[in-house]
Amino acid sequence: MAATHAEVDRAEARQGQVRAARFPELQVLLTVTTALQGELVDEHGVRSTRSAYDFNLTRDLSAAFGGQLTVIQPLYTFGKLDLRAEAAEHGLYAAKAQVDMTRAEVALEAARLYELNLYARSVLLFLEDVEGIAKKSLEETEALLAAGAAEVTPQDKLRLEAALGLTAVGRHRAEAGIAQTSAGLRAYLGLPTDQPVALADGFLEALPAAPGSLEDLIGMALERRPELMALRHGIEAREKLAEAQEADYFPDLFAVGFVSGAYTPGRDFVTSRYVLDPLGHFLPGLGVGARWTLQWDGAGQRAKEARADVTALEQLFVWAQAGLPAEVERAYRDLVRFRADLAKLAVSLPQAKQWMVRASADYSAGLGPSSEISDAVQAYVALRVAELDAAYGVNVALAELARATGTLGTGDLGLYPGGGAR
Amino acid sequence: MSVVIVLGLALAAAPQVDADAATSMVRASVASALEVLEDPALQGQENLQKRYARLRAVSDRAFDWPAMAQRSLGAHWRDLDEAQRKRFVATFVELLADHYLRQIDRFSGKERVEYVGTEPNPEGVEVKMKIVTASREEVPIHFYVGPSQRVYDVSIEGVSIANHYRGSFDRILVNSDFEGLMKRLEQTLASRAAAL
Repeated sequence: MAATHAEVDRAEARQGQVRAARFPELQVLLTVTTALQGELVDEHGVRSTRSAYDFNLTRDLSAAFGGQLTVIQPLYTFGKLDLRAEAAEHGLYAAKAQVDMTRAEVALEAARLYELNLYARSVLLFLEDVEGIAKKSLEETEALLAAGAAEVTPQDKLRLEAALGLTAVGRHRAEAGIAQTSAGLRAYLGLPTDQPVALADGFLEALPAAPGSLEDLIGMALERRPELMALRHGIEAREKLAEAQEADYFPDLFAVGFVSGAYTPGRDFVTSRYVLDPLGHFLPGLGVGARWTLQWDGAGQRAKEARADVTALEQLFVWAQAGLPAEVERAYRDLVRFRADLAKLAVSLPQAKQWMVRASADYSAGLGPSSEISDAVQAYVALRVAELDAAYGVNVALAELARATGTLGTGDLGLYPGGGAR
Repeated sequence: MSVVIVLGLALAAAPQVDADAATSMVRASVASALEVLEDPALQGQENLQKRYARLRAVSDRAFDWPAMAQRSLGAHWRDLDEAQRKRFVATFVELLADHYLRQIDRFSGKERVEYVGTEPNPEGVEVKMKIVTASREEVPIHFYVGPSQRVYDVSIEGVSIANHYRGSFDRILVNSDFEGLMKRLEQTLASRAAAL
């Protein structure tokens, strides 16, 4: 983010430079040099110095104080300044849009890490619950086997041990996920590496936001995405720059004012209009001028380079206009799919739990095998993890949809993190 | 019209069970059970017998085991003579109690218990609660309390245990007789007792 903010500073500085070019250009030159004293002697209209042929360094040496001030005010630049000002203004807008782009990218990555961290924590809590129950079941089964119970077999014990192994593997994965996503969040939030990450939510739940129709969302994306804004202004900026480069074929017209003066103690002032003594004079002046800097076809080639940039940006714009609806649709379809999964799981999970209750009741009375409990528990665990997967999928799809529509972090639409849901 | 009259008579004849008293009884029993589960002195497989004994004492006060056994057998109850009924109740009550104890014992004691409300039914009051586990898993448990202020059925996740056993016994008794059923139940009870 800091790097993209620096780009805005750079664009503002560029704009400031163009603005400054409209103001008068001042050149000041001050000098102190060694000089020789001199005395004018009038001899029938011919001016000379008394000691012209009698040079004595210790007697004649002096210092000359000189100064020159030149003021140049641009009068007409054939549009160079106006075009560059417009280019700088569009460049600033583009840089600001790039800040919004980066902000959205960072926010999306932080949202993904947050949801993944919450997902891993939730899976860990669930697996710890399952592990506790499986351990107790294993103890029971071992006791029944030791007692020679006919309804329990060594396979039942092995089945439970295998389930505990799988649970441990899942727990390791969840623990690693928590550590990795916490490190990622610390990096994105600029927190010290030893600071623990505490989430606002204790357990993963699907956010309730209702995003509206796909058509509306696509319309919103095309209107609000900072990428399009950046490209639009980038194209304008390059266009104006190309025109400004072409204007370099023409001169800059300017008004100029100058004052030049020099004074040497012990040296007489020459008042002749034909002779200018560099060590003693005063000369003011006003004028107009024109200035060219021609580098053969350099201006044309620079304009061509800027126009090539325009073409590249225009192609990107076309691609973005086609790609953004696809990005919105992908997130939207993900959301629809994960919500459908949750709706189905809202029916299937209670069914799996009922299966567990019935299988367990039958087993307790010796009316059913323990393997049926294992089958039911296995189905339940798979469905419960699928439910957490779907909740994670919904939340990430909402964050991606918010990013795709240019509303992530703005609070508009309330897609993510959701209107007051968190 | 006649349907309305019959329904009215049925409601008039329904036993009056104090919903507040029923809820208090269930709350007190659940709290006592959680106390046992949280007791550090009763943790682990080595304290299983002690734990079960304490839980059994709590559940004996709350559950009407014979009524639950009778309901679980359903229409077949009528076909049994007094000796068979006594034999069935003596065996099945122990299995039923063992089942509930094992279910209760699976909880760690760290779960949150929420009372959802009560609902009258023709035979008493349904006290609705749910257990919320550490992983936010909700387990709805409904206790059916009769006029004796004791639980005559429990529904877990919407499955009435009495109804479930009624279905299971029906299926067994289609292909077997009462003696065959009792043999299975007694054999299971013996192995459960040996494992404790």
